[in-house]
Amino acid sequence: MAELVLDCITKRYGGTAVVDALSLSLPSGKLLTLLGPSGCGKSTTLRIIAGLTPADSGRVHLGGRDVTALKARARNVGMVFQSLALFPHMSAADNIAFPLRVEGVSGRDRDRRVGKALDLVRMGGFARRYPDQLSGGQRQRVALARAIISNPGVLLLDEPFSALDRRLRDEMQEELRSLVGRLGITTVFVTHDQEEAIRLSDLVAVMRAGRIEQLAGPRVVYNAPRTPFVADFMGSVNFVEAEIANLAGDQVTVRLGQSAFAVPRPTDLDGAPDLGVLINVRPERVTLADTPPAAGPALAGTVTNRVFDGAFVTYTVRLSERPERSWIIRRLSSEGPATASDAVWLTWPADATQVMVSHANRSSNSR
Amino acid sequence: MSRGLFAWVSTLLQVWLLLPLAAIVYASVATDAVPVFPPTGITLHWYAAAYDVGSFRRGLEISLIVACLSTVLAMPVGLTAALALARWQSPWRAPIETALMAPIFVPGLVIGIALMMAVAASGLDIGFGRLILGHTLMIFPYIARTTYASLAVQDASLEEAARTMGAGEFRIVWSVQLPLARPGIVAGTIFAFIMSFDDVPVALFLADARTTTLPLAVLSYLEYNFDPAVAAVSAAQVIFTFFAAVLLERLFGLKRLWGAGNG
Ligand SMILES: Nc1ncnc2c1ncn2[C@@H]1O[C@H](COP(=O)(O)OP(=O)(O)O)[C@@H](O)[C@H]1O
Ligand SMILES: [Mg+2]
Repeated sequence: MAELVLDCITKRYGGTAVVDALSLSLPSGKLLTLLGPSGCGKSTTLRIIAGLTPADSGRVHLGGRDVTALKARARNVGMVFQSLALFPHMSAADNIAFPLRVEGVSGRDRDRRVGKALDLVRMGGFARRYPDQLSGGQRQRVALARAIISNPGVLLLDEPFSALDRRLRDEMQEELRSLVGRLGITTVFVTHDQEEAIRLSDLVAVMRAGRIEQLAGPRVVYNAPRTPFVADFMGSVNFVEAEIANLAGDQVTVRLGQSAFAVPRPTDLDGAPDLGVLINVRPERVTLADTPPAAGPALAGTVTNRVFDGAFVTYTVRLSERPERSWIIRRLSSEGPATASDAVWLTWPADATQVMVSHANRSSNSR
Repeated sequence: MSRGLFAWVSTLLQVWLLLPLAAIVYASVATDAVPVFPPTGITLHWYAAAYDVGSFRRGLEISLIVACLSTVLAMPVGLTAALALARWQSPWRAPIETALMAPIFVPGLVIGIALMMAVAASGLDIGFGRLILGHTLMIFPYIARTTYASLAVQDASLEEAARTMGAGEFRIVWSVQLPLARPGIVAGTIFAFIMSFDDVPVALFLADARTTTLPLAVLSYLEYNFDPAVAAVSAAQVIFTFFAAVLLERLFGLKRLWGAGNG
């Protein structure tokens, strides 16, 4: 059953739709990430779910109940703020006990539950510490424990790890993932970091200007982005214009320069042959060669830059047919130099090709 | 180089400001009736002499009662005003803030005359009450201002976090906002108390023969006498004020000094 449903939520600030007719449905126990660049409306969406910001229109359902009219305090959500918002005048234990005090849970029962929550986030020894006596990671844990102690219907997190250094961040991501998994809490996590989104999520919603561009599992969003924006945001910068030679059943034949190849047909692709499309290939799927491949996709280009960064060599290749486009290719450095000269051929497995309708042809922003 | 200069100037300024206080303390413990240097001897005689002046004893009593009661009354008024200002999202907030803070900028004499006229117009003879009410009105803006300043810098997400945890408005104010504003509240309260305790201009218009405060008693004593007993009273006042500040800070303020919103 869907624990969280947003139905056509719109929020405007000064005439701009910061959240624009946004709908989504999150099954119980799943972790959804709202991923997008700064200012695309992630925090606003989260605040609308929490009831801290009223939507201009649309409905919010939590646990099958329409909570649109309910205030934040009545929604039973747990929220971890970007600043964490720990109460500086309360110890870790008192911070975690706060929601229970509000509920009226008292005495031994409260102490027991606080102790359990502290253990759950591995902070058992720090109950009496004040927030300013805790490290960044420890504060995260206290904030997390406080957000889940009253068994909220959904857990909301707004870029909680963005201030941590990389190592701690990885550790906290791991811990959040396992905690949420163990407790089975439905979770919405906001981030602008695609790597974080991919590591954490059951579902990723890539947002752009208040809309969801694509909502899918992390593998799909990474490997099969449906729009140039999503592909670009997921770090896949290799685009080139192509044409559809043939649409037949669940296959689509793409013509790219001299080469033509068939790929599985994306569900949202229809229209006439000769339709201009954009194709996208992830940097790690492309290989370099001195001669054109016998079959499959092929593009000629010139290497303009090589960067060695440990495990990988990153090549920048300017396309001969379209000099305004450069592709990035990442190969394992242990493979050795890919080519002898700067004039190269690019090729890749046909099924690594993402075919998307180029923006000029899109009638509407589908998800 | 310029930092060193700045430190020197600031030290000199502090010495300059503290010099009169030092002079008063000096005069109060010197044996001589007219200050000379070096002193003939050191004595606490003038403190005893001051204590023997009946109007000083009575004045001290009245000043303490008035300062305590008006501070106690000013506290809820000041806190309420500060909370209302901090929590009220409205374009009227700025003008009302200014109006509320007016007693800080309006000269005490003006407040005194205005209150006297208001009391006279009301026709009420409430004796002590009018001095206490006058002082309450005069000092509550200090509490309101420092409290508001503390509330205004609080991280709004603390309030929102409490809200998502089910807290109602009263609990948010009581368990989150006011405890975090404590340094401001304590500072304002100390200040308010001292303003009442030291006040001359407002008391001048509101006090009567039965409610002569210590500063008024000192003034009227000076009309006919000039001896180090006055210096002793002033020195005692300085010392008292100092310890009041230290004590209150100890009790409320310095126990845990936290950075605002340091979550
Ligand atoms: N209270 C507000 N008043 C006016 N504009 C706001 C407010 N909150 C957010 N915005 C604007 O809405 C847009 C989206 O904000 P936000 O949801 O915080 O984005 P994100 O979290 O994705 O970075 C931004 O352009 C921001 O300036
Ligand atoms: Mg944000």
